[in-house]
Amino acid sequence: MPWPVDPQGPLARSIADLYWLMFGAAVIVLAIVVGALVVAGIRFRERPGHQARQYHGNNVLELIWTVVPTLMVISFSVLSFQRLALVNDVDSGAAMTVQAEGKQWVWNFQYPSDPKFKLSDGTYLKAAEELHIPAGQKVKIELSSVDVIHAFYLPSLGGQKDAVPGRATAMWIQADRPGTYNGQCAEFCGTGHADMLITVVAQNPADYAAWQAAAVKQANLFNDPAVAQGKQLFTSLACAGCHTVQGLTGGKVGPELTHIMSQKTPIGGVAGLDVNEANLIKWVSNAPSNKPGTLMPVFSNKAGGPLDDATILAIVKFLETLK
Amino acid sequence: MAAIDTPFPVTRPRYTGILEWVTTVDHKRIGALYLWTTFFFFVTGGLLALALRAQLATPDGQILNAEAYNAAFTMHGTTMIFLFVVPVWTGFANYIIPLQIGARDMAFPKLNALSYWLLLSGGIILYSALLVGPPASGWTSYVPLSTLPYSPSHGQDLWLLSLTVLGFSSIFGALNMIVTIFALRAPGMTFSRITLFTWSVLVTSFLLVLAIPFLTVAGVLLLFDRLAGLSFFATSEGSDPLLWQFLFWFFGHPEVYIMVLPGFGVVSEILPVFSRKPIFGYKMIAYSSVAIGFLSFSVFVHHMFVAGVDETLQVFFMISTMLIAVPTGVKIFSWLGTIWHGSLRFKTPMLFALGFIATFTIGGISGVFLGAVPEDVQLSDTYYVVAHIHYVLFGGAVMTVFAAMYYWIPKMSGRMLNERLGQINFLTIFVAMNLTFFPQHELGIEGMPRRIFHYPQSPEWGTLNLISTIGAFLIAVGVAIFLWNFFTSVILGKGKPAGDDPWEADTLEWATTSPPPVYNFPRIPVVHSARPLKEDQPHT
Repeated sequence: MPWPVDPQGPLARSIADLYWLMFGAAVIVLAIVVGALVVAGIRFRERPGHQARQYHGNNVLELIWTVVPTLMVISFSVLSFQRLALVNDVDSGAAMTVQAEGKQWVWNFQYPSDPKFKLSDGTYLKAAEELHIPAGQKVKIELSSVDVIHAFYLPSLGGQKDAVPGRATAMWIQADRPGTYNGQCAEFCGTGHADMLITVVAQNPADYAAWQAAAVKQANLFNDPAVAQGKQLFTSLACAGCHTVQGLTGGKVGPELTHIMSQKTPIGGVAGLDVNEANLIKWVSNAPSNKPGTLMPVFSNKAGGPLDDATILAIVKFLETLK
Repeated sequence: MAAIDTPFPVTRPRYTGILEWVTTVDHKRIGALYLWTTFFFFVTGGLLALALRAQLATPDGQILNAEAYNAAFTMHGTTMIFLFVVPVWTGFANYIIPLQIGARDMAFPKLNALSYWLLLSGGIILYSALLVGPPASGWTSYVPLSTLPYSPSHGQDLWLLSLTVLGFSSIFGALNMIVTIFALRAPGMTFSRITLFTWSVLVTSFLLVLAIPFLTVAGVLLLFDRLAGLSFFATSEGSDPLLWQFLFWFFGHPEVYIMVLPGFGVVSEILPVFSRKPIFGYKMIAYSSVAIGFLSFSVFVHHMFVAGVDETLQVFFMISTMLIAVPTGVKIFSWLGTIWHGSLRFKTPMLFALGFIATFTIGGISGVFLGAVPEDVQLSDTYYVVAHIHYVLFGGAVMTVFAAMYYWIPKMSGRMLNERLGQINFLTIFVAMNLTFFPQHELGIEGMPRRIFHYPQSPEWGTLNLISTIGAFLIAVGVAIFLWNFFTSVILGKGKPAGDDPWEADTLEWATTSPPPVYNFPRIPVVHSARPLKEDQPHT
């Protein structure tokens, strides 16, 4: 366990350094106060033959304990001020800029308008909850919110900043080494606040390029006309209300489908119902006939549901892209 | 101490029994009503805290769901701040200040009664929200979360209404206190002779009168938004969400000093009495109260360092925030100067006062960390902040409330509280509060945000949270010991008779009987020094 939080970037390290400096001074002050309490408690306890000395003050002492703390807080202010530029300079030297949009209760990321992130429909890569950054490089995060105030908080990479509706705020993060760094929304934002998590994956250049290509390819799959129709249906029909596909939908009732095609267990946990096109069609058409009691309703119009075969096939074609 | 004869009306109450209490305008009765009511809310808010801590004892607790947890911490914070810590001091001030300055009542007795009944009304309004769906946007109720689209429950309306009513209660009480202290001091009771408790209540009263209106205005505007469809805080209409924060914290930071300054005053009373010495640096303590009062209005933006305020504001408010540590430090060192070379009697009020010096110092120090912008960027909205405010409000305010209870209940009831139980009471509370709140510093450093109802993704926070929860239940044991002590010593009357001056103190409240008679003093005393009861004794 890192104790305390292990600073993993230059900003977090600078914050931690100042913390320990101030901590040293704090321990001394506390030791003086508690030490004086203990010593006085022993030396000046009431006992036979001991008399209190009667006086009202001491100008020299009073001057000392006004001036010394003043000097201390001035030096803390100066030390903090020196680091303020590091905290607030979000722009200079930033390798890339990512927009993070807070929304009850998920963070949506928009990667920069860089050809490497360009998708076949002319937009640029988007993602939710998980952000990939190149290790060892400064990344600017532009924050916004579509509803209430949120705060983007990554304790090991560089603190936090509020995402305020109607205001543009920004912060920066940098991870020294490849790795996965966790954080979450820090400003109370309603019922789902505790689960508004952030995962940052820092990668070295080769891995980052590989991820980038794979992510763009994956996103482009959605833009394939056959798939695009299914995607549109998936997000607009009842599916979205129950299932999460990261970057698209956030339903929590049914299982998450972001990587359904990579799933080892059979659909719905029903033995023999391995994940493939035929079984997906069977499941989506009439889930209760495969697993009595499931919350997922009947969708095929042959069994009294609302959707025809073509629609179900389009949705399954889309699901098949989720690897 | 001499006295002047002034005839005073010996009245007979028009009513008896409960009606006597309902119609009373006697400052001592009203003070007692305040203390009963606020202690009731202290217990209520404490039970809510136990529910919160029970939920957090494990990473994925199942005691409260998200909605219940959010409502519980909102009600806990609101109850403790607005229905306990602020008005409990009004209660003590009501009872004690007229006695300490040699007055027969408050300047406006009927307004005084109105203040109390508004307090009770505010409490009833707040808790009536439980019937319609409790408020759940925190005691700070930031917009837009607290606006109609995101908090549709009428509980939020009742929260706002309650705070407005409580605000008027505080303003009336504070105006009354200011006039009383300025106009009703006994002959010879100059401003360099009034007690330090009186000084701190005077500064607190000015803070209340100047700060509360900002909360009231913000609250009423938000109420208009919610009930009349106006859009002062509607971000969809272009309102800046920081407007609420500026108004709220312009009230909210002086509010912190409103809650702790009277406690400073109590400690400045108790330490000299139990050290058998005069207070060290009377003037510096009084001046530092005034300095804290002024500075408290110029630090509030430190609550918004990560909300996107620009660097100039960050720098100004960082420096002013750190500077407030100076007058606070002066007080702490003056208290140490008071006990040094004393002859210390470790009675329960003294134990709580000494314990307070240690716990409040920790709260003051962590405040300096949070005032430094780069540290605040890391620690804001984490459990570090929760630890800090509880070291200030529990370590600062609640410890001194207990000190004041043990110190003045003999005066109010005529009975001493049991000393042995008092010592156990102190030890339990002192250990328990450190057990509860100290680990929260580390949780904040590790990145645990406040106001989350579970943390299944970070089970490594479980151990410290469990320790904190155990501490919280131990605090409850401490409070139960106090209630038992009060019940047996005062209600059952088993406590020793207090007499006029059980602590051998030297301020005016100890010159009259315990409990004091109606109108306090048969003859208004004439005062010649800051220690009127010690005037016959030689001192340097």
